[in-house]
Amino acid sequence: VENENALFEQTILPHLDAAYNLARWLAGNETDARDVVQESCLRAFKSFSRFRGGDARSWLLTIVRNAAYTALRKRGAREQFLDSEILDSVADTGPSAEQILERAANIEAVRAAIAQLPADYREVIVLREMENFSYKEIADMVGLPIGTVMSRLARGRRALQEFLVGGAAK
Amino acid sequence: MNCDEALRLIDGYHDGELDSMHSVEIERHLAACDNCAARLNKLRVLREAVEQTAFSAPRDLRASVLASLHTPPVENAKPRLGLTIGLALAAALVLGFFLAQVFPGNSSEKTLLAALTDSHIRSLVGTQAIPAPPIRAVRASPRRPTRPGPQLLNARDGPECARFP
Repeated sequence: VENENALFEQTILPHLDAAYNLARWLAGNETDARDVVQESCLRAFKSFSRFRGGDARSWLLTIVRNAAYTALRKRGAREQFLDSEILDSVADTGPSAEQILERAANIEAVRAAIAQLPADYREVIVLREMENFSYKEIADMVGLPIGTVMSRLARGRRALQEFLVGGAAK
Repeated sequence: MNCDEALRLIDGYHDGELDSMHSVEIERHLAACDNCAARLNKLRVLREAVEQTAFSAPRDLRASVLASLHTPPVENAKPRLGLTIGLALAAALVLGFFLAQVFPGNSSEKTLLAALTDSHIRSLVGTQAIPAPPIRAVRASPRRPTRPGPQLLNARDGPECARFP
């Protein structure tokens, strides 16, 4: 049992930052994110005997993701949707790189823009841009085909640059 | 490769997810097309902007996670539940005691109940007046009481008597 505890601490707890980051972006505030992480670590600990090698970070984050969505449902959070204009446009008509760069200096402004994304777009942005997972890894965690992950990312990025430079959602 | 194709693949290229054949094709296009090259540049700027907004776990989170692992709430739940039930029972007892003090009418109700039980048992046993068994004994034991005149008290009557009060 001692060994099992030590192994859990060695393999799972180094990913606490990643776990908290995803929980924070999905749950929307610090208090709920902490609860989600606590709950997820407990679940991970209980089912740790079923963890057979593989990537501990994506294993933990899959649990965090489920716990976060459960918490959101309990809270009665409403689903958001992206503007169909953003979804349909393939052409790049958004703001310039200079405009994005200018806004990027303000971390809170960037955070506010990311928070405007619907959760299913926000999570792929977080997993790709902050946590550096591959499309395949994201697809496995989110339970979607790789092609869907790629198009969500592309649309999410387009929406994000609009929110970032345009300010409020359309 | 034209711009439409390039823009459809450019996120994949930016993420390092294209196979080598498509990578070579898109690179050739990017070298010749300022618009698509600008798009790639924007994706890079956007990544840098987003990357820096990642949250790190609050300093005490690790400690509180570890603490919760070593005292799982499942084990804590039972004694807490027991304590709640105990407190509720104690409160009910105290309340019952006060009610008995304040409304002495309750005790006459009790004797009425006892009298009714007595007469019911007497009617089952026969006309003979017998000392009624205490209500609690009737309630608690489904077995027949060891009393005179037991012919009518077969096993079926036990529970029915018990249900009466």
